[in-house]
Amino acid sequence: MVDKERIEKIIVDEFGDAVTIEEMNPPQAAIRINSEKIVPLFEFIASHPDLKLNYLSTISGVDLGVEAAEIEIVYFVSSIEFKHKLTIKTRIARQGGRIDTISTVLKGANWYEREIWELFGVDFTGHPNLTRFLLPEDWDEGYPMLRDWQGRNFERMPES
Amino acid sequence: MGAISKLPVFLEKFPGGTVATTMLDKVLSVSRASSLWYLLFGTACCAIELMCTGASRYDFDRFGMFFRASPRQADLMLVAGTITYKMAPRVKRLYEQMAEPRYVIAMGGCAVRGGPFYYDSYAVLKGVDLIIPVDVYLPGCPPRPESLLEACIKLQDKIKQEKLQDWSTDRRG
Repeated sequence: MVDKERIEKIIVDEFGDAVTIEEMNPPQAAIRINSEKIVPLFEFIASHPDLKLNYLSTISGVDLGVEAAEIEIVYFVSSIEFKHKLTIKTRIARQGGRIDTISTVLKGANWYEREIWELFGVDFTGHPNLTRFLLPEDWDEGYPMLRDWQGRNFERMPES
Repeated sequence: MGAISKLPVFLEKFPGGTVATTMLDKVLSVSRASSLWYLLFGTACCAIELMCTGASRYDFDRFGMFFRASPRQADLMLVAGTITYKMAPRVKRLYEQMAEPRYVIAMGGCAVRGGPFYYDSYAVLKGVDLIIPVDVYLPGCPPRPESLLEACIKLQDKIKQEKLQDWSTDRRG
């Protein structure tokens, strides 16, 4: 177990300006990184002898809204050996956003990235199999997790 | 007389004989109603109630209800749970694979009308009756086993009123 400050310090020392430390509640190790550095970051934290963050719990996508025009991708990684964990956040453009795949480093990312591609329209460059995943095979209504999405059979909850 | 005297009251007995007359409609419809084998179709939490109903405490089997894992052997499709747009073509196909006569119970709010996923969901079909004909609607989230038994008894009452010619043409399209 390596404590929160030590994990963040190791990463900040390696990546410098590309990384900022995120405050989370309750306190836990969390960083924000420039989206172009995501693959070097994962290669680094998976192999560093004091981190060994080599297990990907999940990847989340968050649509920050039409005005912010950004999508946040949140990676949750943990270390099986040291039993510590780290949250990694990064932001990309909402329209035509692209980010490098990390499935080359951690194979478990494959399906999570497919899901985010399908629901948010994020292009994961270099992904081996970016194809239809959870939605119906004949889906043609765009990316349903975007906040301004409208579908044929979709109804919003009326304001009460 | 033996077994014949125990048959339902609509049988007319010849005095002292071993022959009973009745109407073919009634024999067929009572037989159908008394051995409704249902297709296992649990897609959400309603399936837990369905399993509970099938287990010994509520004992579906005493109404002649027994689960089959194949649509070819099933008379009744118990749609127990949320149907997504991805699942919908599979539901339709399984229904078409069932031999006639076939019946459907829409169990729970999701199968009736989308349930809690009616609003704000891109993925959930708003009622299984949009793709297959439904005989009995059973609301609840999820319905208790007693409600499911009630729904099945209602369906049995419906089947007992059927006439043979109802099934002579594919009246359900």
